[in-house]
Amino acid sequence: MSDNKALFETLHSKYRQMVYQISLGFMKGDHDQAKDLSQEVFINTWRALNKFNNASSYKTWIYRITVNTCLKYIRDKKDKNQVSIDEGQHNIADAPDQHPDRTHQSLYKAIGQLAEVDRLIMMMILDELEYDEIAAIIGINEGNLRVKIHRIKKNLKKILEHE
Amino acid sequence: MSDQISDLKNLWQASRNNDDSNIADTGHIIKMAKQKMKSNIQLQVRTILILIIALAGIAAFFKYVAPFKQTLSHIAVVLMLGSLGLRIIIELVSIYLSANINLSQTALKSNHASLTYFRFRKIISSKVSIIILVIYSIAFYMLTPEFSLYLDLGVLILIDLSYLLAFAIFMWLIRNTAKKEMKILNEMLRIQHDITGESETKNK
Repeated sequence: MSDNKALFETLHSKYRQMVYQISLGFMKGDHDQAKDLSQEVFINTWRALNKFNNASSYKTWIYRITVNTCLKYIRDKKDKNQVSIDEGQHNIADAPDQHPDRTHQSLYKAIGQLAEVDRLIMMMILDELEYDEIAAIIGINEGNLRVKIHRIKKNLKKILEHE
Repeated sequence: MSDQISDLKNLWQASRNNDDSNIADTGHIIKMAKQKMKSNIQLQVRTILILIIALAGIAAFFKYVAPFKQTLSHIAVVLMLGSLGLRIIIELVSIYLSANINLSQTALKSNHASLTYFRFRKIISSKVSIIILVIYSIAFYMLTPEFSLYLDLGVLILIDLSYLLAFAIFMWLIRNTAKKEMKILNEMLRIQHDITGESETKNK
């Protein structure tokens, strides 16, 4: 147990900013929801710690848990009949004092207009993950991923042009 | 387009700040994880326990308090106990399938395991639970002829009418659960489609 705790602390320390940023992007810049989501990611990481089998790097493994927790979040919200991410999102533009960095918020807002899976893939691209790493996280082959990424980039370009 | 993506990458990297105020500490997370695991196990054990106690209670009632003599009543008792037993088995299968959802697998595999679980739940909620409730109810009314030998007509009518109310409530609960699970299943199918790019409509 103490080994697990030490490992968990190392993983948390190393990847917490990465997980938080993905959560923030997934939640379209909403810090409160991103905080809850990143906490959920690490709760799931702790619970899955004994299942880690060295088949991938810790980074890929944490990414998988992050992506799956984000997708599970959508399902859980449906289950509890809670508000959707869109409905629940605070209007960041109306709260400049709380989140002063408008440039970053507009980035999250633009990414937020992509579909959930596309949004997660786009954030991995921005995080400069290699295509084979993204394929290993999502579970599709590299060829399909390239096609998908091309389409996502085109969609994002359209979104940015309309901003 | 590559310039635009490159700009976005720079912006993305720059937006990763080192402010930890939004991130819980590990002690708190571990405590939450343990609490969650404990409450999940407690919920599963409680559900199974309630069903087992109901099964044992009804079995004991029929054996010691109201030992029926007619064949029709014996068939009814078997149907009632059998349907409760089936409900317990379904709950155990549900626990097994939900335990198979591993969030450290690829998104595709993890979503597939969730789909398997929710497809099972959908069949249970939309069909099997209703069949079980109907069988249980028919069995309950099959006891009426022998009950009528020992109970006043007024009491008998009261019991049978009360059961109708209970039946309506259970049916409403089952249908509500089925609707909720259908929404989740459709959401999961949409995610699966987004991941693979293939349409899966057979469960819609």
